[in-house]
Amino acid sequence: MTTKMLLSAISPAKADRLYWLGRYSERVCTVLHILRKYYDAIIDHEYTDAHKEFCSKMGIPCEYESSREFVHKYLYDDSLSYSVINMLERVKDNAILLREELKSESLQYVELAINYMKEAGVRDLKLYEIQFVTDVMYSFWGALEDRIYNSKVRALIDSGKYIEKLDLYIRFGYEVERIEDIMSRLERVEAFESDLYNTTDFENLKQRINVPGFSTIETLNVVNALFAA
Amino acid sequence: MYTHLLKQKEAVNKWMERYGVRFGIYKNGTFKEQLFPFDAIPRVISSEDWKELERGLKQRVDALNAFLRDIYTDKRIVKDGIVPEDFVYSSSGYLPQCEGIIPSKGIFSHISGIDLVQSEDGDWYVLEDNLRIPSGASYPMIARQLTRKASPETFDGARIYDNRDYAKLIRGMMDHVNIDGGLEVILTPGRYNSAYFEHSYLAEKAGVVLAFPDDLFVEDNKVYYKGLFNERERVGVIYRRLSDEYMDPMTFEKSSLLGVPNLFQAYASGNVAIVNAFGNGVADDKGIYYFVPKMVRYYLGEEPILKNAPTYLPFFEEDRKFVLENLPTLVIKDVAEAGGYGVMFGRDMDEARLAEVRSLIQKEPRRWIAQKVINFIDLEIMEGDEKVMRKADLRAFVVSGKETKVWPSGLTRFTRDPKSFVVNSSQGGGFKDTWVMI
Repeated sequence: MTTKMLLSAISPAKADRLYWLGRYSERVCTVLHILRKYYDAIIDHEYTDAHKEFCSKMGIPCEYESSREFVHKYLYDDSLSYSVINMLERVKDNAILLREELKSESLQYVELAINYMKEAGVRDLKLYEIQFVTDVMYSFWGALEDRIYNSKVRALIDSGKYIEKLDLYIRFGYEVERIEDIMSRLERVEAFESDLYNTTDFENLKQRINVPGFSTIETLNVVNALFAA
Repeated sequence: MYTHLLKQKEAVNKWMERYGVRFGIYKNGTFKEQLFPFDAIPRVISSEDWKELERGLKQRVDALNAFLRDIYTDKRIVKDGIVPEDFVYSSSGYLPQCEGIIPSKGIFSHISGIDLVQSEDGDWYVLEDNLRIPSGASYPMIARQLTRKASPETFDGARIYDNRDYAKLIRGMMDHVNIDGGLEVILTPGRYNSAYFEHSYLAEKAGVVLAFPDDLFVEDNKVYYKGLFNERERVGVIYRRLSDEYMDPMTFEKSSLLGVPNLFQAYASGNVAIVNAFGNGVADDKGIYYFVPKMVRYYLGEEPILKNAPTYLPFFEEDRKFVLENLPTLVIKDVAEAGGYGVMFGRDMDEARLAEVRSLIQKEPRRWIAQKVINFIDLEIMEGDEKVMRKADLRAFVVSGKETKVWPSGLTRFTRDPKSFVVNSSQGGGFKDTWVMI
């Protein structure tokens, strides 16, 4: 019973949800990954201001007495719009409006991650104990890969994922090769489903990352303006 | 029969949580989503009982469809004095804009939700006909999927109709009424609708597009789905999940931001099928319910198989007198309300309240119906580890496409309050799967 779905166009509102689904789900995974690296520095007491650097790179306020307090609130405090629990809620907000494309079997992983995070917050679980959330989000992506049969839908989610990855990699000073790899993945999506990005901005970004000190607000602005659809 | 399933009830509830089986509710102006309490003990309907119910439901829905067609065209039933004219045209569900319009394939009520209870002597009584946007089928569908997952032993060799093909029934009906092979969509008002889970789940399972009002537009009396790069796709059928009054601000409620401007004109021009049709409210008005057995005789020339609960219409002087005198023994319903709202039991009222309700009835007799309280059977539910008895009803779903088909299952709703007869989810009720035996 899929014929009509395969033929259907994607409305601008739906495209927007798919794109942001990709961005937020990528943000959860990459941020948890980067946070673990910073947390590693925190527990060794080698770098006590690690959380301040993390906040500065993410562009979020940093009003915490300790790294430990920051990690707890950053993970679990639902009153902070930028907390991980809120990133997951935003994944859900978008996913729930896309059930017919993503399928219930995929959505269950988002529910699972949120339920786990809520419980983890109450029990004040440590960062290493929420590896489960990363595992579940990877399962979510696997399920999407497996269950979405509309290539346009997949392309829109992938665009969101790669643009979010670019944004975070640039913020946290990843090597140029890693950034170029993500850009080439974006190009493959573009080749598959045209007109999703602004090609002039894309070329502009290519040039920027070859200039030392490219990790600037201006570069991030170019990244965030890439998605033209 | 379901011992193993009961042992697995925690597992089932975990799956329900994981699948986000929720419904939305507004409390003090705030939207909240909550899990729909599921009881693992199924309602079991024997094959013999079902055959009779199925015949009765088909008959009732066929008569209601004939009534809707008649009311908006020839009005024979009014001219022949079977249903009083005033009674029809004063119904808030009657839409004069629908006069003369015959929807695609002549079907008005494509999905009918008929609420029934079973009395202690085994007879089924119809309490309400829901012909506008009956909801709830998705819950037993997903419950069956998850109970089979959690307790395959229970279903191994069990002769129970598989209810997971409801979406196929819906899709078949949508294909049948589709105009010019257009796109098939379920139109949802959005996430903050109490039945949003159902909208999205049915779209997924039926393989149709879940559309939001902004996704659609009308041009030259045709409906289109808006694409990302200004492409458009013609829409052939809309299974709408919002009420008539919000569907088109150009024809109905002008302040509605949920509707699609000019949608009604596209429908009236025969360019799009709307499931269920505009104007069905005139037939599921709780007052019109009184006349359904007469409709069966009038349109089909048959004796009604299903009984109505004994009902009185204060609109008629004789009935009004009876209702006013016997109010403490009756249940009073506001004809314009749904979802368990506007239902009052005379036995729960003190003298002051009784006087107040009498005065309301005298002031607006057409607005109310009164029914004898049927002592319908209690069903077992699990409360913790204990089995307790609670009132329950059954919403049966009848799908009218190429033919009228009754879905061999239904939504069994129960009250969790031992003193209550009101089973609606919005009033705190829970649900069960409904097993129809082969």
